[in-house]
Amino acid sequence: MTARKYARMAGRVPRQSTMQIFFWPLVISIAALAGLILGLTGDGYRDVVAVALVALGPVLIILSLRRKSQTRNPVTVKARS
Amino acid sequence: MKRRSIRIWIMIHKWSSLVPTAFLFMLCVTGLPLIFHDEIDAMMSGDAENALSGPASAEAGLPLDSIMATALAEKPGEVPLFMAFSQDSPLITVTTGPSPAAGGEEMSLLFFDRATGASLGPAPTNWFMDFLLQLHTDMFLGLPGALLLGAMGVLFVVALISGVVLYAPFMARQRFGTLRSGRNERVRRLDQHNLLGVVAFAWMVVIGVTGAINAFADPLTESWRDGEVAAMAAAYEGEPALPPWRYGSLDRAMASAQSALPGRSPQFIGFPGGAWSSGHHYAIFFQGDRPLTQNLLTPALVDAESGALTDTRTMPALNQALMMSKPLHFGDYGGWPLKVVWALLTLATIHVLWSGLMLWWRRKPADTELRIAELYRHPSEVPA
Repeated sequence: MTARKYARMAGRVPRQSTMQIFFWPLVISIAALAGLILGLTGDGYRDVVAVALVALGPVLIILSLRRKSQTRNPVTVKARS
Repeated sequence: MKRRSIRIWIMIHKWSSLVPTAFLFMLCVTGLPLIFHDEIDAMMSGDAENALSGPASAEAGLPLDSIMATALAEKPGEVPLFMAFSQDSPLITVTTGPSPAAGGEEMSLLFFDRATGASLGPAPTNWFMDFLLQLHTDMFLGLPGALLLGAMGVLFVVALISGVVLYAPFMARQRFGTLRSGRNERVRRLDQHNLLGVVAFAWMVVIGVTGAINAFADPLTESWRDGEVAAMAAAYEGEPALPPWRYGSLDRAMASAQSALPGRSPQFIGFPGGAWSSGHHYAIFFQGDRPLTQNLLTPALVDAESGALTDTRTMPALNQALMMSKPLHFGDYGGWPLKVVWALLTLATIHVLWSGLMLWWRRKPADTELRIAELYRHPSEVPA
């Protein structure tokens, strides 16, 4: 197995820039903060948008935890091949 | 980031997390049911407010003096301490006690219907929720307990920031959201710790900061009363406190205050000699008239004997920060859907605490060095 293939199976990608690493965390954090403030400053539809924005994080967590394992154990794979 | 910097940040993250861990677990576990305290209270003791119909007690209803007379007739020998209004129903709450400076444990809370004047009996108490709230606020240790928890909140924020700093080098070669499950228990746990931690980061910082501010609630209120209220009531300096039998009309006092702050809705009245007023005044606290300022209270001090307005001033910035931090900490301003999100994020926080603790507990002496070395394995890939 090549090193590149091993890295891909272990979920590794070429080294990312700081902006790439923090892109999604930043989007989720800004959404959560915007939601918290929006909820405080109004009622009605604002509350619905606020909840949706703050809920983005928990929804992503649940989806990630439910997703099937991304990588297989390379040792097991090698033994089979 | 250099190896040395990573080592320092790991050290900061480790100790700022380990020291408050036990307190943070307690705060999460007690905080979880407290998010739903309205629903739990209504389920266990009935929802007095929901059963009433009529205008909100903050807006209209029977004269305040007649409600107070009924309350004092139910509690002979006691003095009024607070009167609190509802923005949604005719429910009005009167708090009485044996003396104007009575402590919380000596107070009696009575419910009334301002539309009909009917007495609804003592406010229901829920020992279980009261116990959780006390544990969550000061661990039954009073101010020192509250300040200790406030300090733990500050450490929590340090742990969160150092965690995000470390997220960069350790996630440089992992796509966002990667959960490696095939390698070993430690890697699986680390990935979950990183993902849940970074996703819930902003919310956890807000909860940590607002929790720490709330820990200073009592000293902030005291400093407001001793500074601002004393300055507003400077003309009364040196006079003995007004005895309860000389208290004048509440309705007249309310009319004076509302003429100075037209269109504002009252939230509660602090009576003379208590923590929320001077020795001579009804302190009538009004909500802001816009959604943003709804949580910011403006007090009007009205001479309790004559009913004449003495002064009205907005609260100092720190006290305003305290008032804004309460809803942001409790998550009770967006209906039950926001409460569910609050609960999910609390569960995520518990998971981050637990996985972090396990990563430390099951560590091997060389683990940290190995992980740092792995980041620098390829000379061409030295992180920035």
